[in-house]
Amino acid sequence: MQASTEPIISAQHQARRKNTVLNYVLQNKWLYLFLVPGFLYLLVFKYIPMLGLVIAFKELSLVKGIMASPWVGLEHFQYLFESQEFYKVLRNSLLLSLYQLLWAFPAPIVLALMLNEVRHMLFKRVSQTILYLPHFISWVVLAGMIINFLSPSTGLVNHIVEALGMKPIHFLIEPDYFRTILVSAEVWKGVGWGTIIYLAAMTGIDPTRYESAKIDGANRFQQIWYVTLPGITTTIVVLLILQVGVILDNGFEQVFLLYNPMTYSVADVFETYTYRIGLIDGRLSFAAAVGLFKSLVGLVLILIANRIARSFGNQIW
Amino acid sequence: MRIWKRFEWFDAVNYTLLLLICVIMLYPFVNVAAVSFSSYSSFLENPMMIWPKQLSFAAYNQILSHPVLLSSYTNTIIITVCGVAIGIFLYIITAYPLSKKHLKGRNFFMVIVIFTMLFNGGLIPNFYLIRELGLLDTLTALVVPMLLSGFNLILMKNFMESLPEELEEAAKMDGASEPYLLFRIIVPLSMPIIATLCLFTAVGYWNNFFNAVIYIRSVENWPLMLFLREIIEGARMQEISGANAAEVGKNAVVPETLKYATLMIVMVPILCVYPFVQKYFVQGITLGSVKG
Amino acid sequence: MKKTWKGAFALTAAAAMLFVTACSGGNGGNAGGNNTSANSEKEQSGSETLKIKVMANHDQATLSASDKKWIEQMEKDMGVDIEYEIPPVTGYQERVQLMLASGDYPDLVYFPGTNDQSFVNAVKDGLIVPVNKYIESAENIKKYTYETSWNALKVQQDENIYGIPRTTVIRNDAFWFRKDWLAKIGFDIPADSEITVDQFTEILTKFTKDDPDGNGKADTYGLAAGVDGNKVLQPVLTSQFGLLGWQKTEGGDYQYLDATYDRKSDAYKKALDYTARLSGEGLLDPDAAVNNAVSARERFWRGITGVMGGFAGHYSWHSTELKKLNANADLTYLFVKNETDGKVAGQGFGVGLWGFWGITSTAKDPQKIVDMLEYYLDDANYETMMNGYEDIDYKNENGKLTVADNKEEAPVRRNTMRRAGDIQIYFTAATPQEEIDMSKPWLEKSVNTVVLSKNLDFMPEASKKPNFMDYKKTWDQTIMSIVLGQTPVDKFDELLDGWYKNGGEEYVQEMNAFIEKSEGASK
Repeated sequence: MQASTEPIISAQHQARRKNTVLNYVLQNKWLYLFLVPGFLYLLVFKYIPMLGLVIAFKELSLVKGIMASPWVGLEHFQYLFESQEFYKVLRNSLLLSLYQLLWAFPAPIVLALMLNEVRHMLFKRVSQTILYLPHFISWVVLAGMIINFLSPSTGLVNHIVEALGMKPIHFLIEPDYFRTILVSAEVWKGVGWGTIIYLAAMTGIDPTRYESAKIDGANRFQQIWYVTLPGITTTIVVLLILQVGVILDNGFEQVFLLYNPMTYSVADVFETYTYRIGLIDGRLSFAAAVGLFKSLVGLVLILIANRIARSFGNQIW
Repeated sequence: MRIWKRFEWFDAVNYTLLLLICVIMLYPFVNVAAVSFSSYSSFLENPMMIWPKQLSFAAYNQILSHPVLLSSYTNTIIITVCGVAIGIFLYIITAYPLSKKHLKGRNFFMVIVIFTMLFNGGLIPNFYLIRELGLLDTLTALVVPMLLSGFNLILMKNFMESLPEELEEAAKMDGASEPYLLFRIIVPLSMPIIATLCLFTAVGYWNNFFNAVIYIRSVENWPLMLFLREIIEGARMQEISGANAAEVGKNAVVPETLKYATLMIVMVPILCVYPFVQKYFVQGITLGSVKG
Repeated sequence: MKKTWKGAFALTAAAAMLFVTACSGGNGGNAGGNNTSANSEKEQSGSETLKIKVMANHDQATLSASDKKWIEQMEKDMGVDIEYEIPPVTGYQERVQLMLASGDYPDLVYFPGTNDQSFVNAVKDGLIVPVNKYIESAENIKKYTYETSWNALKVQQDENIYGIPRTTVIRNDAFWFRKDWLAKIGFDIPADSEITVDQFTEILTKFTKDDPDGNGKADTYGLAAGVDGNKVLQPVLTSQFGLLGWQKTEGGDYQYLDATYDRKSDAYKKALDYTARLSGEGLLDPDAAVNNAVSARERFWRGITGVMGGFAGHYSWHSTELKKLNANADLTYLFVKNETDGKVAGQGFGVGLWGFWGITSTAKDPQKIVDMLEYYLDDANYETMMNGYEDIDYKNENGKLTVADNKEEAPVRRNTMRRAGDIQIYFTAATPQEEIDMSKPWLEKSVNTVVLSKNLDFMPEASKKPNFMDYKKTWDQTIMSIVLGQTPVDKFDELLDGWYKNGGEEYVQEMNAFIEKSEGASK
């Protein structure tokens, strides 16, 4: 019976498919309606101010206003690329971000996996709350603590170093230590907070999969590897792609508070570089140009990363 | 015997490691709390203390007795509640269509979202916009700029994508409309991500002070963070302007302990909110409904 | 059930938002002045009272009782309406930028310095008016302002002065010494408070090595060194080796030069070498490279270090904190003499202004505004300006003046205008007489030993070129490295050559042109 009606139904389907777009929108009008408020918001509050990026191509005079300020074309970008320091700063920014990707990105995942394995509810809740505390401590205070900690005269770390018979190390003026110190601080500050999104993703994992894994004889590690991790892979990939998009961002506060001229060679990144130029010159236009440069690079990287992820079936779009 | 059977080395190691990590995480918080209740001199003597010395509420007094505290606290609560409520609503209805793989124009929409995450006009254009909308010096100006962030939107869309499609099909066959599907079925299943975003956006609003610097003109509209920052910066400025102790009198400046006390005042309320959100991070509870 | 929850929540939130907008809309929805006005009752209904809008940077955004009273007094005496806009301290720079961009200008604006970019642009765009003709009648302002301040404000390289300075005392700051430690090492404090460089070194050495706090541990150091605002560790003694900023040279390629940049002089190298030696021998705080001013001061208070550079008027501030940790601690203030001519001389800080006030082109009556600033310095009002009001700022107990209970800061009253060279401002009615007697000679010496650098904070165009600004990074790195003993002092020659090649040549030439012009103008 079905065999004879099939060709008729599929013909009808094909006819419908011809008036695709309009029909689709009408059929799914709710979906498009839902998009309206959000995108209206983005249009007004994100895209309209984005027009202000023309500042990067002008010499902004606040009094004259954006429209009447004179055009200078690519002058700011020329300045940026001609500057000898640009390439050092670029290198520092990239290397620091790579360090962060290497250590600060996986850390919350590992911690989330560990937390997920805790069965004792009270321990779980209390430890989670404790783990979020560092996120709220401002960088100013944290940097002060780190400086105290690493002080060559009164710091705890150097007391241990001396007890071991060595001379005190002045950690914060040695370029070799800078990245380690900075990334460790960032891990410490962000790892607890970073677990939240992964824990949320883990709640979506079907518990019966654990049961079947156990039946198949998997131990705890194997359960994590074959059930939990795959369950949060999409989340990991999404966050990774987004992180790549901001690879030239390093966070101004923590670098500024912990760096000094002795560590400029590894520590000076875009944010601090622009800050120092801005101090001397206060040029909003220049800062806008640097920002635009970073945004463009980020855009390209995100597109590439998403394309790569797509080939693994894990794209954002 | 049953207890021994459930004991696994894995757990022993896991719990111990977590305990260690918690101690490391806890130390600075304990330090901050201790310093905030100590006198400035005992802080100077031992900045790494974990127990208050020369118990002193001077820093808290200075903050809590300030007339602006109450209004700024209220402002921040209003801003946070409104911002989270409206924001979550926007996230839900915007992420849901984007989570449908079959949505026509999906790539285009996503690129639009990604763009907003990367490009920003900066201080002056945003100021002009808020001014033209007549929102200067209103609390609305503190809510609106942070309502929708591309990052959070992508997280929610991602989560919704991972929900099984059979749900949608089953509901549609029962004749459900799209809104019903979204609010009655998808949203309850998405509580983990909703809870997460509530937390993220709430903290974002709570900690923000720079928008207030730009958009707010009257002290009555200051949010909490700005008020706290001003106390610290104002104290520092007094130092620079050469005020000596005799001049300043009873409201003596105590910058470090002040800083730490403001940190406590900021942290504690959020920590109180978190336990309510925690229950949504329980595994498996949401997926149970699929089978049933 | 969840849906109704969400829906109800959202509706309530939206309602709350509207409510809130309505309320705060009433509080003031425009960009302009709706801020802390001392006399909101004074009606603008047809009155001819001139309104003066002031934008200032003070440490608190609300006016204290003392300030309110002072403003009322001014308004009454001058027949004006004064409105204050005090942005948050954390964002003053951004708020000035927004103010310039908004088109809604106050009448009087505070700028932190003559090189502030917002100010420079505002002058270029014609927003700030010259004040020359308005100050002609301002006797006190003219009398109590440094010549260099006026010169520094001639930012367009012509005769036009573009602001009224907020004068501060130009000082040559010296060093605080732990008096109890000096006693312990047996050092006699000279009556004229002057010591030689060698004595300075000796004190630092003994403070580090001879356990001056007597606790049996080698945990003290000599100098509370720290980095400056640019995070650079600068040489500890400069003027003592002849570094006094931009001065007339005796022959050579340029008429004026800062000895730092003089290839024929080794003054800077000597300063670097001296500091490197101190650092090498461990006489500086080991944390110097990461100490900012606050930590350097805190460590001095803690008793980790025994000598600290600072301002002579801070005696009670430092000693109060010191004594809390160590009841026997006490302080004295000593000047280090130049090693060749034995005189105390130091480069004064800045050009005598602690920020300044600019008058905008939209001000309706600039003369009245200048009169208002003149009011502060007038003999009739000066004492009230300094000390405040009875029962609000001070108490009069049988002729003895003490600090009033719950005394609040009054930055508008006290920090708007100052008299040049008046060290009395550092003492209030409540300062104990012993402290005044002790500090006065130090303050006077600080003021009298100032040598002004001729550059007037001028920044030549050459300093804004990319290679010059980039070289600053190299400069800072090398200097700090030398000071910390990681690079030999002779590297400085190479550094200086590089500086000349990277825009330094233009810098010196432009600076010379500027100085010649300003020297000629002031004759």
